[in-house]
Amino acid sequence: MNEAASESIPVQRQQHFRELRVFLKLVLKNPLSLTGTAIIVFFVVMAVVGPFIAPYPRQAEGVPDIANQLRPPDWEHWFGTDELGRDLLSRIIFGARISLMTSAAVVSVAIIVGMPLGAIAGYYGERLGAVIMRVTDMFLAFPPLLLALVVAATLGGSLLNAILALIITWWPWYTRLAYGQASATRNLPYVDSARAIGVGDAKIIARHILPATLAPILIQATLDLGSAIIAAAGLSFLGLGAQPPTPDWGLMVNMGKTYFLQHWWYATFPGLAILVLVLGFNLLGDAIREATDPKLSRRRLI
Amino acid sequence: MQDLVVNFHTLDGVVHALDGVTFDIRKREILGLVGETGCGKSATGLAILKILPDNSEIVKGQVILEGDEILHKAENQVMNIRGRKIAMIFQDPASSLNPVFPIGKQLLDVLKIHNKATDQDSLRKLAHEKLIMVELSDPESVMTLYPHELSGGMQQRVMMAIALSSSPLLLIADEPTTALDVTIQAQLLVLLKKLKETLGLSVLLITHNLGVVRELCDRIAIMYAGSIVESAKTDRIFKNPLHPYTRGLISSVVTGRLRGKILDYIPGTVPSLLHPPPGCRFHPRCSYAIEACKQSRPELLEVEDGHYAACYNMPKEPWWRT
Amino acid sequence: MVVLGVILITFIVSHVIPGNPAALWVGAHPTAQQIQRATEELGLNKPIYVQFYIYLTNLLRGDLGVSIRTHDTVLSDVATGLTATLELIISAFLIAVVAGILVGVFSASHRDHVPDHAGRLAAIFGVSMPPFWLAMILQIIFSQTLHVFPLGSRMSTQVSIMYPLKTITGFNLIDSMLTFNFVAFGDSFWHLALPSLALAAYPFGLTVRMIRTMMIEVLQENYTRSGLAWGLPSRLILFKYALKNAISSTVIALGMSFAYTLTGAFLDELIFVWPGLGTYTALSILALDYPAIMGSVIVVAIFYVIINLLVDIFQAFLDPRVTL
Repeated sequence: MNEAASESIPVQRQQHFRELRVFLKLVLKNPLSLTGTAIIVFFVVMAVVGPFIAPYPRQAEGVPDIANQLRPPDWEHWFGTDELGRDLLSRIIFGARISLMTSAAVVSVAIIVGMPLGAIAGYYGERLGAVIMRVTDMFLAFPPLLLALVVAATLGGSLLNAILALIITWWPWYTRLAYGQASATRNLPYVDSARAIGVGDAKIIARHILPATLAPILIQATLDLGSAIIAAAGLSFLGLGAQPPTPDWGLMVNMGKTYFLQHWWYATFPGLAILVLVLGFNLLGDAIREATDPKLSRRRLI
Repeated sequence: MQDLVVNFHTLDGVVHALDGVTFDIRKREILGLVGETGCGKSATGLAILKILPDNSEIVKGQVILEGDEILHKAENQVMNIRGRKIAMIFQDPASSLNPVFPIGKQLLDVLKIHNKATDQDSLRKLAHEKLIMVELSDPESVMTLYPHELSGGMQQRVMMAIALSSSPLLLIADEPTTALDVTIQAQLLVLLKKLKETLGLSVLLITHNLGVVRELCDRIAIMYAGSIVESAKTDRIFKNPLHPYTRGLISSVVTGRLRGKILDYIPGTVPSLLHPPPGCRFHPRCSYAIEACKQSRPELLEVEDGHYAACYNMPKEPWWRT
Repeated sequence: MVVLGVILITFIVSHVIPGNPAALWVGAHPTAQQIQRATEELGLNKPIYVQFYIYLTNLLRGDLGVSIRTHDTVLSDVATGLTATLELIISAFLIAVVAGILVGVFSASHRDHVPDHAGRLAAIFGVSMPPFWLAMILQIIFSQTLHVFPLGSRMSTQVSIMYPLKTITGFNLIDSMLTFNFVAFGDSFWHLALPSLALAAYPFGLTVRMIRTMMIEVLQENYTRSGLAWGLPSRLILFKYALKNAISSTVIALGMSFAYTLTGAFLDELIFVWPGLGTYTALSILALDYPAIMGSVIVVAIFYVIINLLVDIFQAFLDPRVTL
């Protein structure tokens, strides 16, 4: 994957196209990844179109309907209603948008913060790199959710704070990934030749190091989108995330907890939604990972 | 082996690896299977034991061992043959031995499988015998070592010990010395020759090294791009190579007589087996090619006594190189 | 070194809290005077770096401070919680790893065929499951409807009264065996079942995925081919040879997933009312009880480090090529 700096751009592009085609073929052939993609697409569509097709949109936003409290699933309310009589299905549909945006926000900001840090650390090595990595290791030493819990609790419960807490927890992973890739790339001949020509450090990092770190980060990001949803739901479940009346899935499971032994539908359906969406991300991410791992594609003997 | 055709199904398409390979090996004979890298000689060896990778397809062909056709057999029957009647050693002994188990364990496990009724102590004694047989002194301590603690030569001897532990009829040696020093190589080849005599072993020696073949083999089969192009007794091949490819091969080897002269080579490159050339697969590079060579693949026919070649237009000039 | 950093960060974070710990200490309806006195007692009116210094010196003496919420020493709180949590985590992990290895090997040996897809699907399900949700579903199905397992806590009150359990190690299962209290043993086991299962889902998924990947890689290696050529039966090759190679590479990741199970335990404990460290920590955090928070976090961090060490040792044990 290290084309000499002197190779012409069209040849590089050709190579990339070919790799892309093989990659797509592998991913799409796999029924698991197809399902995963389908699920994700479904939820994205739901997030976008949802407000228009949800049967009880105003209830989703919080308008109660006390007369219909805690009704089990029936033809009027496919998923039943909650303790304020709100239709669960509509709330779940609205919740899709929240979950998707939350995880997207967490992952993207974590990458924006973590990737350059890691790239810089890897590129400069020595003192600067060591310092950055030490700090990163300190953060990584925390069991993942613990830090988020503490931060979220400190800042107070709200969706924004939860996102912030998760970003603080998540960025070190990307820094470490980027660092690994950057350190490896730094010593490659074409980087040296670029430096010899006199290309500035910033430019080298931007054009050569960062793209090299992109691949493993993207794979990780696909999986992390799913994990972020679970983490955010976990925080909401503890009351540290979205607050009522926001139709956040984790929050709904939390509220459902009190009622759910008698009214099983309240906690089940939001949790199911979480499960399926995360499943989608994981299926896709897993398939991508298997397709891009060079060690996994050779021969099979037994 | 008769007319073996094997394909590999890859992401890029079907690779026609073996296209009708035919040869035979006699008792107490070392047959050298010679060819360039990629000509399919390794695949041939693997096919005999049916340990080809999962994307392979044996389209047709037969392998007959002592009158018994083995290629069509079911897996559990083939397992009886592996290690017992036919054994195989591979090119890189370091990676061919399991790194997390000591030698003793690996050897004993194989012995246990092939000698089900024997008890632990006899098995150990047997293991020691085998190690001594391959000229490893102090078998007791060797058995406690891990593969990475041995030198390359010792590793390959261990591989031979394990492979020959049940006195098989045939040993397939896939480039056993290519990864080793020349001096070690010489020692191992001498050992191989000795074992042939003492065990009554037949050997299929797969290699690309003509020098080795000349030293060791009784007969030679030359392979190119998936099929045998010539086979005969060793000195016959070198004295009078019939097939143009064989001639090219031998003349491209450096010998003392070439001092001051330009080294011969065969123009062109080995064809891709995804889209092999029609007819004789060598014809694009052959200076003796005629129209018939493009039409169909020449069969391996007996030209002189015991000397087979597959060519429509063998060169008529006598061969004056040694 | 790393642990120090952890302490520092936690300290900083928890001291930025807007709440008033002194108020919490005093309890309900504090008067201004009581708050003032508590603040002095707790040393909260001293500048922050002094507080940190005091904390560190106390720490070195083994004094983790006193929980603002429970008014017990954090040390004792953590100790009782720790064993309960460990019991839960260990059993969950055992289930996960054993099942995970079996499914992983099975999946790898039938790669790209139906059994493989089924195995991978199971693994991904495990990994995608919101742990709190799974716990609740298990509760509904097995507790409520089928009445097979109890709803929560470590022992039924009946049993703990009629057959009181002497606490030796803090591990109910071990203690009950040591004291020949078989009724308590059965009861504890019965209570352990559902929470462990719920917690095991995630590490199960991880294990399957890892084992499968490593097995696939190992099965492509030359030494696997040798094993075949020697006539070894494929089951032997799979479970003995290939597995050992595969496992030695996964031990690190397995260790990490063990530590990760700790965080899942938090949520699990809350739902099953399991009196462990997770519940304690969660409650402390929600109440902004910072000595307790500090204590729990430190213990967990130390735990992490110890696990890492153990993992390194274990790997050296399995793979002769690795030197300590």
